[in-house]
Amino acid sequence: MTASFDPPAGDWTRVSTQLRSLHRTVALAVCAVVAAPATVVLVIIGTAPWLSALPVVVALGVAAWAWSWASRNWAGWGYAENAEDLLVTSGVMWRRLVAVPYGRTQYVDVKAGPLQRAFGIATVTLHTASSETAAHIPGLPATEATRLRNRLTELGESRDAGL
Amino acid sequence: MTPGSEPIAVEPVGHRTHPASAVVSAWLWLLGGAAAMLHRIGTDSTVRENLVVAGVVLGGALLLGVGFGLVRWMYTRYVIDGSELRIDSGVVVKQSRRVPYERLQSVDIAQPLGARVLGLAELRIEMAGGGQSRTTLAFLTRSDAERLREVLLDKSQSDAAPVLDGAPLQESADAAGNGRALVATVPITRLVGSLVLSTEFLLTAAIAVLTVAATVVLTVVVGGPPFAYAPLFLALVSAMYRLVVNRVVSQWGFSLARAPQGVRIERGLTSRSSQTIPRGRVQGIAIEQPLLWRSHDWRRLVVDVAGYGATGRGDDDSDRPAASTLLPVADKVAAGAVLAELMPAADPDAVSLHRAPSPSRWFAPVGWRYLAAGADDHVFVTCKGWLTRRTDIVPHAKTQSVALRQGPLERILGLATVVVHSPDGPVKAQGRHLAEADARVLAADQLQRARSARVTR
Repeated sequence: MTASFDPPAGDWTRVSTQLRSLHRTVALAVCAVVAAPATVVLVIIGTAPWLSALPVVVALGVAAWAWSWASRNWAGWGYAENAEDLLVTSGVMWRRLVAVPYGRTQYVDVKAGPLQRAFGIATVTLHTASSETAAHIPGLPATEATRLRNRLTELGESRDAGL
Repeated sequence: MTPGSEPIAVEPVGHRTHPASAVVSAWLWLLGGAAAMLHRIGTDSTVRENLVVAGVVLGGALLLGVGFGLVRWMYTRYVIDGSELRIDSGVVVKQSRRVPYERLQSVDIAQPLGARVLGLAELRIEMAGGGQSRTTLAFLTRSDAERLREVLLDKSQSDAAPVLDGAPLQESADAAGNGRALVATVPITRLVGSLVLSTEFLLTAAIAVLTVAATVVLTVVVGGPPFAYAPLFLALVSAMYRLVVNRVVSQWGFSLARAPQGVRIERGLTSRSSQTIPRGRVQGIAIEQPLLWRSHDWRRLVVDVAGYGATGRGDDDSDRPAASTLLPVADKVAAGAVLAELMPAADPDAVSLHRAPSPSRWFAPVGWRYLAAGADDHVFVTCKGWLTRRTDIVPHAKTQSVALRQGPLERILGLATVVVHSPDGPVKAQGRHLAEADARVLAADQLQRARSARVTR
């Protein structure tokens, strides 16, 4: 981690580890769904045993990689509420830090798909007049997501800078 | 004479647009009718038959067009009150568009060819925010459209002190007439010359010529199929056509004048448009200088106004690149004057820039020498490009957000990219591949500068 992507003050608030669990669950499910039928087909058509085992080996490899990726990706996310700006950091290979002054808020979205809801997390997105801002924070616990949305909306109104 | 030309005053029922609007929209129906006729080409019908069919189809299209236009006109009304402009329309599905004055970004007058013949004009109102940010009011007489624009711009500028209804209208119209010092015009020869010398046009043309040459070689020497490159050639020709439309036809007779609220631009050959860009609504300006323009010291100015840059929807998206053009081609003095008019405190040449260090040549082998970013008390400036040199300027007061980015290769080389986000449009203030420490400091300082700019505004 380079110092360039540290917050100006304090530490990053990390997102919920449920995000990591979600990514891992999805990865394992995809691996299983792809590998299992492939193995069954190979066994039925009666190829060599090592060939029948190949999908399982590959799936295990992919799953292991996804397992550690989920952990790194989770650690890449972070946000900080400063006095005047919301800071969001993301990414491991492609690092990004975006700072949005509260007064620039146009609107705040909270989104939670069925899977995210099952893990009790939601994504908060802060929109400004620029679509490049893309300040979204996935993996917030549902209560924290609501709190953050309310706070951002409130701060956005009290510091509204117009356009 | 017509309902639209009465003095504009507050009235609950609202005004109607000009009745001849019905006729203007009939143009499209006529075109549709003509297109429907196309399939008769090549059939062995006599001239007389063709004429009869043409008369029936075109006449029917015209009648239908006028009929629909008339019904739509009857159901369209607009109301101006103390806080908003409201446009009610729709026969089956009722629609009521509200334009609160404080959200209004710019008001343009457009005269498509069909409307221009009848002396009518359309009002295009850009609002901030995504989705349907453009509202059109079609059609009014040209003078009504101009007067309504003055009213709207006046009201949008005086957010704090609402203008009394009725009284100031005459004044504002006068002010518009008197305060029109001409800042810049673009002679047509220079417009055409600038297109021919521009990097984009030359490159496209060169590839097109190469395509033709390759085709000739293929057919004559090798004896291959004659139309192998036809799709590519057509794509190139259409790209060139778009360039000609955007850079010459829509900028024909370009003039930029000082208006009470900012600057006013008049342009266009077939369809004239008259844009007003209010000073406070300029989100950023970019200066472009293609390689071959440098001997003449020409440059082009493009502008970010919220709403202009929105993509996807709208009746004529093709007009958007042209609408974002602040000055199609001008020398240093004229460009400087326009810049000073819209960003009085900005002096991009005086800003001290952080240059990209030599490791950035891994990303841009030639262009890295021109990559730079910096800021002074008023604006954030980035530079890039060697074939087309480009300077992007975003005032601190308009900074939406600031981002710092770093890819894996940048991390190895100790580089980072800093981006100042402005509303969607042609201006992209990206300080790419700067030294990591510089980028970090620029980003952090930018937040501070943007904050104080918002406070003092």
